[in-house]
Amino acid sequence: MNKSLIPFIEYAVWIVACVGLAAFIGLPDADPLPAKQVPAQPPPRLSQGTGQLAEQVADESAEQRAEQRAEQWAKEWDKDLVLPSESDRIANYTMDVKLAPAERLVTGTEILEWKNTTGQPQQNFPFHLYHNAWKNNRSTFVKENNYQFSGRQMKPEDYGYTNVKRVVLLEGSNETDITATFKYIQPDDGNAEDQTVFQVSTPRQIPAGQTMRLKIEFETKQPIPISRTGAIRNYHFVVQWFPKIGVWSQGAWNCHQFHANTEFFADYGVYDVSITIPSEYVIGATGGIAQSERENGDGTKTYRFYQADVHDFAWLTAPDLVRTVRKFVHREREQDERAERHHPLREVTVILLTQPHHNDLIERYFDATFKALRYYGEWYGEYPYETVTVVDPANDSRSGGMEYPTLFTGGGNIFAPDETPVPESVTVHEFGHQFWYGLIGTNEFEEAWLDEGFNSYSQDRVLNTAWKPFKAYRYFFGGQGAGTNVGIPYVFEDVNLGRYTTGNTVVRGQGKLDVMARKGWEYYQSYGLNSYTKPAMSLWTLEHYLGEEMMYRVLRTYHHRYRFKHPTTQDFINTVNEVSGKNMNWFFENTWFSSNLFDYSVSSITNRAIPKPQGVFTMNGEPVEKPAADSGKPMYECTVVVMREGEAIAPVDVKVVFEDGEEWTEQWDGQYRWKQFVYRTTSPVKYAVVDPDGKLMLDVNYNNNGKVVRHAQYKSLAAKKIASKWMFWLQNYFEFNSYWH
Amino acid sequence: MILRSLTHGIVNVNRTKRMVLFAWMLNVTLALALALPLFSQLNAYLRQSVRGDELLNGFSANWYESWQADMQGSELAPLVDYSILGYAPFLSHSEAVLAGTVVKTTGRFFYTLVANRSFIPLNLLTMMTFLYVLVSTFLAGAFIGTYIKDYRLSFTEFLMEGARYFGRFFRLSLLSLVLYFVLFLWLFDWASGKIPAWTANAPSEMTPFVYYIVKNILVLLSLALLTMCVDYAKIRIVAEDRISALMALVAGARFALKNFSKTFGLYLALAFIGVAMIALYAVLERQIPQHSYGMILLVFVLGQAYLILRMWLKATWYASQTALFQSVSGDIR
Repeated sequence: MNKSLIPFIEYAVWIVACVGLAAFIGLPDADPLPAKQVPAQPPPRLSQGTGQLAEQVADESAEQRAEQRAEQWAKEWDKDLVLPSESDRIANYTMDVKLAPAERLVTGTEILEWKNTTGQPQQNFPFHLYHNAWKNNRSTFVKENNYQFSGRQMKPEDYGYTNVKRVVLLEGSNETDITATFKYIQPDDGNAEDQTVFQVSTPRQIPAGQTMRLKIEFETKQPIPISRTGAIRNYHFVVQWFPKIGVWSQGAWNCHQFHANTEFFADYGVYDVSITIPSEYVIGATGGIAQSERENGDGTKTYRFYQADVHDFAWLTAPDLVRTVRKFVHREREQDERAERHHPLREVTVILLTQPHHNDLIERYFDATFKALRYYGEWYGEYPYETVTVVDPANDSRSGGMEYPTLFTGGGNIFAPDETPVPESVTVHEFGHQFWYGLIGTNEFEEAWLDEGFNSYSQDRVLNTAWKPFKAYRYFFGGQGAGTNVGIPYVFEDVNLGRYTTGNTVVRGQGKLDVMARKGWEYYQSYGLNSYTKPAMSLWTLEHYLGEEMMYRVLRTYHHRYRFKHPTTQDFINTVNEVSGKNMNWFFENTWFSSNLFDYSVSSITNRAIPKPQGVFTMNGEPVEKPAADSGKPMYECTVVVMREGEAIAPVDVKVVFEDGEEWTEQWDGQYRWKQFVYRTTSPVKYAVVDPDGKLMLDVNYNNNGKVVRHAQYKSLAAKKIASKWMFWLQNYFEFNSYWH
Repeated sequence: MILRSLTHGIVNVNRTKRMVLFAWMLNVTLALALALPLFSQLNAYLRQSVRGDELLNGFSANWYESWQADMQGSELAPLVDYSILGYAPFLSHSEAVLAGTVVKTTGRFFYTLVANRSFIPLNLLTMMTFLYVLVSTFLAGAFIGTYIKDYRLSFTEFLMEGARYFGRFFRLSLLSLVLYFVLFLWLFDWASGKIPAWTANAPSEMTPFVYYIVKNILVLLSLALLTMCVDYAKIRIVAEDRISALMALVAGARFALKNFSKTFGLYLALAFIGVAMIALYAVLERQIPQHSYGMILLVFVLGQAYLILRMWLKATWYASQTALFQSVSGDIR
């Protein structure tokens, strides 16, 4: 063969190989489609609260009176703050249930004692049946999840449900079967196939002030883990599992269907729950320590749990949970002016249930829980229950990071280094929900920010106070598995981690999608932002405007005033205005009731040398050589222009620093699009910063907040640093990835 | 024999210091082609920035996120992430190697070109990497052509060797690309995709971790084996003046497998030196606070010193393998 043909033949072979490959394996997956385009600013829908607030702003005299009251209040702000010892105990449950682990089935009865505090007779009673969200793929929950079960491929046995078998009205010794009145209702979306809310009716009205007793027989089949619920292997996480009555709120029943993006709302009461499980299983439940334990002689054991003044009851069980119990004792306290107020907090028994392979996380869980108990207690009011149960969830149980009264789940990973906030961050957060959700029973369906947002802010405060900044990290050489991320961790020592470090950039990306104050299921892809990040960043900003001490007073007052109650957004705003003595409605208008973004910047700095006096100058009609005001020193006319680039408005400070070290801090109401500050000085401006103390954490771009005067040829050292590092990265990239040459 | 080949290789490389520096300079030049525009963008962004000065005290996640948002439309800015920090570049690139990122992208490009007669637009980084592959192909010919001779070559002769074998080595690269492509697409992507499902029900996260580590070891071994075969194919092309890259690949594989303990032992020894160099860089880099111009420069110089060493190692790789081949085939001088 002619040797010169060989290259051509080999190219042909190569092409044939490619085509052959094409025919055999098909085209490899293309890069994923670009993310769905979202409109830059969908038409915002104003919340119902906006009009009310506007009226209040207009009422100047009322404002003045409020300020006077606030002055008096400021002197004795905590005089009348007393934590209520118990709730109204409206919805009280006595339950007796049994778990059949193999079938993932919980069967039993509940006796509901419901106190009619509505002020009017009642005859129709709505109940939640949350588990029916996973009964089929027609529920509102699944529809809102694009007909997906959080990525699960469902087999027939994987679905879950709650089946109400019988409802009986108990009146003394009389029992009236009212099962026939049972019907599913869909108060939110009219989806007739959704069965997450049902209603029963009593033969007669229940007069105001009286207590109704219902006996409900039910069975709950746990789904495979879908959304913080379900059973996997022999780990059973039994939550939102029983028929649960709605809340009479603001003159109507509030009993929403279960949505993909919403959580819960319920009245406080007493829970007395007996649970039968296999003897070898370990159990954790609301109430913590079982009041009694009984061996049944058939390989099962019955535990009785009792907890008053809570609005839900959750439990879990598995045979291999490791149970560790320690006491929280309030020893460490700051010796400051608040020390008196932070009287020793009560002892709390902390029950930790960990996975057998997570022994290394035990200390970290306890440490985080103790710190959270301390700081939440000191800042808002003591944790009132005797126990708290911390659960390290089973892998792929999807039950991590969830809160229930006196019980919450964390989430850990054996590969997480100490510099990273796993499991601390989630532990503090979920414990924090004991306060913002548990003790302050806000409506999570309608105002999720009141628990998630407040708690995210509080969690950040605890993490900032009790830990060194956590670091960013990444797992290498691994991936997804066992429902988590695994790999060899690398800690980026230079990069601090936290919501407060990058939260504003998240607001920048999604902040225009929705007004924050909306119902949980009405957001356009921004539930996370508007329930967690934006409200948390708002509260940080509010703290900066009010001052740390005033924010402490506001939140402590709010918490004391509304413990065991169902406050609303307006209740919080009223508390802020009352305690601070300031009308902060402008703040809420621009944050919670608006999708506008804050963005202030320094637009330009000009240092113009004022020329030496030339021309004719006179004084008292007589010619003089130079103006009287001229000192002879070189003078500059310095102009600093700051801009409001966003639509949201807030007052900001502007710091101007001169070459000779002199500093000026200007106040700007931030209203108009720009503001110019002009100085005639002997020293030019060196730099200027708008919002120098970072008060306005919601400012979506801190990078444009400051400007330094530099000559045109100046090369940024930081740019050199980053570019040189990237160049090294790139040189190695070339080397590593050219191995196939 | 492994040690002797290694020593022989090192001695040979020390005779070609200028060529090693030339290889480094090519690396620098290609990197500068992207790094200078990035610097220009960064400088324009940071020159008058108050926050820019703060960046000298540490990397700010907030600055980074806002910068990324401000730089939408830039092709370079998205290529910068935390993995430029510390010794993360090595981890990030190793991960990319194990995932076959560039091989798959380039493979898809050629595949679409040949099978569908259409272009998939390549990003700047991939295009430059492909260019670097061509440069490396050229250098491989030049180095092996130099080391196989028993006399010192001039720089011009070194370049001529590169030119002489470029066509054959390029064909070899295309053939090996197909093999790597199949390896990654069939075996490792399939395995990576399956691990989450295989281990979904595992009670401990250690289970998937072990799966991933085993997979990575398998990838590494496969890559080592394949690159070894391709390396000896190149040597045989030069040593035996073979025209056919395909036949050379077969011959290279035959040699590598027939003398597996020696070829693989040498491969491991060279790889060990490479890992030791990375470890040394990682330790030294951590000791230097990068707050001032001097310290930033020092780290940059350290990085370049590392890269020169890496080029030296690359040359040593060729030289040692050539020495081993000659030694085994009784052609050692």
